Amino acid sequence: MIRLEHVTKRYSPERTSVEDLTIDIKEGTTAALIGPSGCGKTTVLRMINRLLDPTSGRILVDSKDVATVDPVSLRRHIGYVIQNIGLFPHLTIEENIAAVPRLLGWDHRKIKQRTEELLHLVGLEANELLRRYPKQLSGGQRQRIGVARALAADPPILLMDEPFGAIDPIARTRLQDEFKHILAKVRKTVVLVTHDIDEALKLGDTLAIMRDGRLVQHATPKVVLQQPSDSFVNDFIGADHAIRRLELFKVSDVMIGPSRTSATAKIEEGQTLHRALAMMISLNVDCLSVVDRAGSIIGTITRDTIFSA
Amino acid sequence: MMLATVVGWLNQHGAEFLLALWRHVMMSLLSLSAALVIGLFLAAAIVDRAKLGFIVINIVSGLRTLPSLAVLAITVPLFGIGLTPAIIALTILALPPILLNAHVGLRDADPDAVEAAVGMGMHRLQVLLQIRFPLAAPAIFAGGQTATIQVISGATLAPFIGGGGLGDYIVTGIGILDIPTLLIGAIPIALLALGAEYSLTRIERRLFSEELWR
Repeated sequence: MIRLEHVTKRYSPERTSVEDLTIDIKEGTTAALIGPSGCGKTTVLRMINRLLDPTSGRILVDSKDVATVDPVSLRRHIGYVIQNIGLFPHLTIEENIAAVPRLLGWDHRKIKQRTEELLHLVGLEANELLRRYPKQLSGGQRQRIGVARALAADPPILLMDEPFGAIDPIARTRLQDEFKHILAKVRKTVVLVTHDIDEALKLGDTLAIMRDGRLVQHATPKVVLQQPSDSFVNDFIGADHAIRRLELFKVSDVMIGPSRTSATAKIEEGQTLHRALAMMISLNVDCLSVVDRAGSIIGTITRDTIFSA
Repeated sequence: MMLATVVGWLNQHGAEFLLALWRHVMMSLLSLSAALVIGLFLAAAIVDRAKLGFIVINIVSGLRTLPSLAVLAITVPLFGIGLTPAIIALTILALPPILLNAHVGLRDADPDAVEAAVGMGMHRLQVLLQIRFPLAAPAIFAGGQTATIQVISGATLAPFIGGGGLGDYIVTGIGILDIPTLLIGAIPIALLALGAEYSLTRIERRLFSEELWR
């Protein structure tokens, strides 16, 4: 869906932001572009919707070279969310969400219907919010409206630049969960720029780790955590990556059949291995019974199964 | 006693006075409108062009340092005397506050909103008209207000280049040392300037500080 081929962006002979970067982002997946600040990840994002043009190389969106597409019509089909959201302060929430549909010339009824639909999609139920102005909303609400606005015209692609960066940590975690939920419903190709490894692991189907303008590794979170390509990636994902990795597996993924040895503690099948291990440590036991939603035992999980996952 | 003289004079020369007043107001309005059109157009033209902007802003800032009378004097060799050169001179006088305020307002319009607007696919003109101008409106209004006061007082000097207006009475009054004549010009000009300042401030409050989104 999005493919960068040997893309280089040089601001001046001494200042190279992106160096010979090739990456393929598959349709319907979320690629988390991650790296320390100044590694060129935002530049990559801004080249996809042609806010910047590469010095050399090609960028293909939907197998078309973006350099041959009118930037304005390209951008109208790519949702864009920036860190500071950038809601239009002088327009109501309704007008903000309706911005792209208006540019595309949708009729009033369709816009109104879509706006209300989007408000619900991003978890804001109250229609009276539509008549408010961005200033009158909380930070979390504004961020949701930013996502709603980007999704308004149902673009196949969504570019997000540190979308949850400006929100307090508690609200951020909740928004990330909700966003993951939204993404599952709308199925978009997403490029998410972040410097937060936890966010990348949570939301990314793939992780693209960048350093000094180069792509160091692009793989699924499991692969990155299991086989970091070099010491930079290893340091970047943190010393506790072996434990973090457990968050990527559900108990039901690795459990073994119900055992007769009585494991008194129970854990629901949808929980992560991380949670299971934490339970074992705090209860000082070696195995747990896995239960389904109804509470009946469907399997067992032991310390060994977790360690070998 | 002096006031009685003034009132008596006004009774006899009411039509002449009204004509001078009308001319003063018209001169001010015409030059303000011209300066608004030119200033806003220039400000819009330089908003994304840093180099051109630098040149334009410096020239216009330079204009601001010229004394009003000098601006009027310069127009005489170029445009002769009469109403038109007076209006041109007043336009030059009104341009700096309008352009400089509009420039700062448009340039500093919420950069995140502008980035989002460009990123979602607005054309240059759409960004300008739908985002930058509404956000810059208070700054533009303030520039217009400053220009209005400058033009009303600047128009007092129009008689020097044959532009007429209420300044005629002041110039004549000083010339023949006749205080009542001088006051017939000075008081209405002062009232015009004060009235403009007062009503524009009211309008500004109405327009901007009561808006929900600020």
